[in-house]
Amino acid sequence: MKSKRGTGQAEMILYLFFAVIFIMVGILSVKAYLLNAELDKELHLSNLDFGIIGNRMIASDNCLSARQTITLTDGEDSYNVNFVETGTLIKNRITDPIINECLRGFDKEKYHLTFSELSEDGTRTVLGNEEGYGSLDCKKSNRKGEFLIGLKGSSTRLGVFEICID
Amino acid sequence: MKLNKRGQGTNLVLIVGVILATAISVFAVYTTFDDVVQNMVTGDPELAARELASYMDIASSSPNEITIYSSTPITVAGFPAYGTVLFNAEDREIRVHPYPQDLMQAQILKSMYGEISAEEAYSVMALYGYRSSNVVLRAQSRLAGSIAQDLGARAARDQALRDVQEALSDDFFGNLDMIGRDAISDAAYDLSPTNAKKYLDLEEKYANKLAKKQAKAIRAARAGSRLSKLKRAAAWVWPPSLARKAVTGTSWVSSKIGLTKYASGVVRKLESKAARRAAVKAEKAVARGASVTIMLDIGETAEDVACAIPTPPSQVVCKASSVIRRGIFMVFMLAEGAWTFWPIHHSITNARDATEQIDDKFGTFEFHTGNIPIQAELPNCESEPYAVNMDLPMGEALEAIGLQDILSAQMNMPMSESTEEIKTYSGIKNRQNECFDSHNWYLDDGGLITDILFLDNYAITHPWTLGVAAPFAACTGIGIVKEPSSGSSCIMMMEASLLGAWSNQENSWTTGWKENWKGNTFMLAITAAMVTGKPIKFFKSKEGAIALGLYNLLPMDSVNLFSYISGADELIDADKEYYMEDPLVISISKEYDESSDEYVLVVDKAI
Repeated sequence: MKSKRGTGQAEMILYLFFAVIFIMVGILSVKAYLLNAELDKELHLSNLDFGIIGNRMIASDNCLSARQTITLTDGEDSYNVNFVETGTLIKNRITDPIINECLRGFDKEKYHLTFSELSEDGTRTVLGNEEGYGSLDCKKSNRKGEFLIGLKGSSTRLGVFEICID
Repeated sequence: MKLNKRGQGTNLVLIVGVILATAISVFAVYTTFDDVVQNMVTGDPELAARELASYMDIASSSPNEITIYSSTPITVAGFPAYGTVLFNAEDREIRVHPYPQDLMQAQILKSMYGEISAEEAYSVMALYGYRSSNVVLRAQSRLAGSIAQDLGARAARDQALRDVQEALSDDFFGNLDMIGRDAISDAAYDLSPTNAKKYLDLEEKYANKLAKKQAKAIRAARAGSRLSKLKRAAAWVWPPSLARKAVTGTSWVSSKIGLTKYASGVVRKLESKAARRAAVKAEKAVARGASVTIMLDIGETAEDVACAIPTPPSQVVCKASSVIRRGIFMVFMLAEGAWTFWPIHHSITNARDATEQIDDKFGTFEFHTGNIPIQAELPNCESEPYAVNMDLPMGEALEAIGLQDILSAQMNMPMSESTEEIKTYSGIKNRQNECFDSHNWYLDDGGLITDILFLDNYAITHPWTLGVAAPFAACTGIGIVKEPSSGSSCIMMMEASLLGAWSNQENSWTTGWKENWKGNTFMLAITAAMVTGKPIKFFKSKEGAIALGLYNLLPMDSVNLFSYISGADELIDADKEYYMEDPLVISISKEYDESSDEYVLVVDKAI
């Protein structure tokens, strides 16, 4: 009896050992397969593009916005602090070469921008390209915005920036 | 009863064991799959390229100065998920690859040597061998360097910085950061290998400049609220905690696993084994060619004698001999095709497949940073090729006559190294005067052959055509139409020239006579014996002499052949693409550049 029970336990240990080996081999095989599997991904970046293009146009002095520099003094040392006047554009910079360079790389079919100058009676005069920039039909776009902007160099100092992204 | 109780106790242990094993298995399954899925998503090169491109876009569009830190995920094996990050300012493109460039070249080279059957194991070992030491070393040295700034800049450092640090230690990072920083710094420097000391010294060199900048940043921060001041200073003074987490995580995994040393040894052994096998193959191929040529030559002499006798039986023998010798030649060619040319063909296609597969792993995405100038914090170095001869323990006899060096040169490894000269790119301005990462030379420059050949005409200039099809067809034609012994000599010459083309020229007759004078003297003596027929006339052989000459004098080596055979020179564009190797943390900043009075975008391999 003692001997039989011992044999049964040895068998159990043996089964257990092979079960663990089997599981580990299975895990490693599936892991090896998964590591080489292709990821099926589809990223929607239009919201990000909306923010980036919008910011680039009205909040970056590398494109159209105005920059101011303030000098701070701390004892003998002085420091220049630069800041961009977000929402204030320089009218003279609204030209095709500058805007096209700022938008370089973006797919023209996926955006449409227009810059207008506001007169005192509310009439809008398009600045830069008459057709605007980009070829997207804004009627079909779900992401669009219209911003009242400051316009340095304009008599009313006011303008409108319209943007739509596919 | 006693027996029964004991049995029950043992059963209980078994049941607990089963439950424990099951629990461990379930936990292992869960963590493994979790890691793998996480790795798949966060480690996807295309996602990484998109993420970095988006950070570039966001930073460049920001109205104010901004720094975005992007940490590289660590793979299950403990490496940075992105070994290569390429910034192309000219075409506004980011490319990301899981392997660093040296590993890409090593994988292609490995596939040429024919280690396909052990692909997975070899890949893992190669990863450890080529990456662990560098990754951990660089990460640790940068971390230590960051700490060393405290020492190097102590004299120039504004006391305010220390005050703020102490205040911050409680609020943001815990006291750990402040405990024994000096001691850690000293210990880190002493323990660092030469390479790491180089980084540390460089850090110290820039420490004063950095200290002034830090002090200025803190003074400027005082203008704001206490919270914003602390946050701003915190961001400047110390890299984000995630950086440290990545560093400690990487080094912990590597040290715990302890495979770095072991794996590099395994890689070296595997390479030597592969090279030895290839060397033996090459030796056998030439030996086969030589023996068959001698046999056919003997047959030709006998045949000439038979043909010269005008009697019908002799003429029958003459014709029969001609047919038999051509038959032997055909069998020999079939054998050569299978044993020599097929492996060469296999090697070429393997290398091309490996290159293609590596190319497929690149993730690419365009960034849209407009006209903002781009600067690189750490410049790249120029790179140049060199070759390492294989260590072949062949025995004393071969070493005595210098043949060991010749065979070692035959089985050399084409490698790439930094020249320590700063590399420049169109559209990217370097900020420092010391360079760090360098491209692998072979992945961009094909060397002499690709410069000469017109690769547009692909079918003719393909290495398979020039290295396999053309020589095999030409020698077969000569052997059948003209004379079998000429055909076998032709094959021997072709094999010798193919082998000689790969051989490292450093020890050859032309460029390194003194380095291996014994081997070169031996080879010269053999060639002289073949040309003059002295001391034994039987050795006289024009073809043999030409073959040896080609083997030793062909002005080519693996450096020029590697990219041509594998097509690896198409993988990157080193003229345009700024390279970051194994980055753990990348920072993308919009900063004000005083010299040009404009905002610039700064790309930095922070760790």
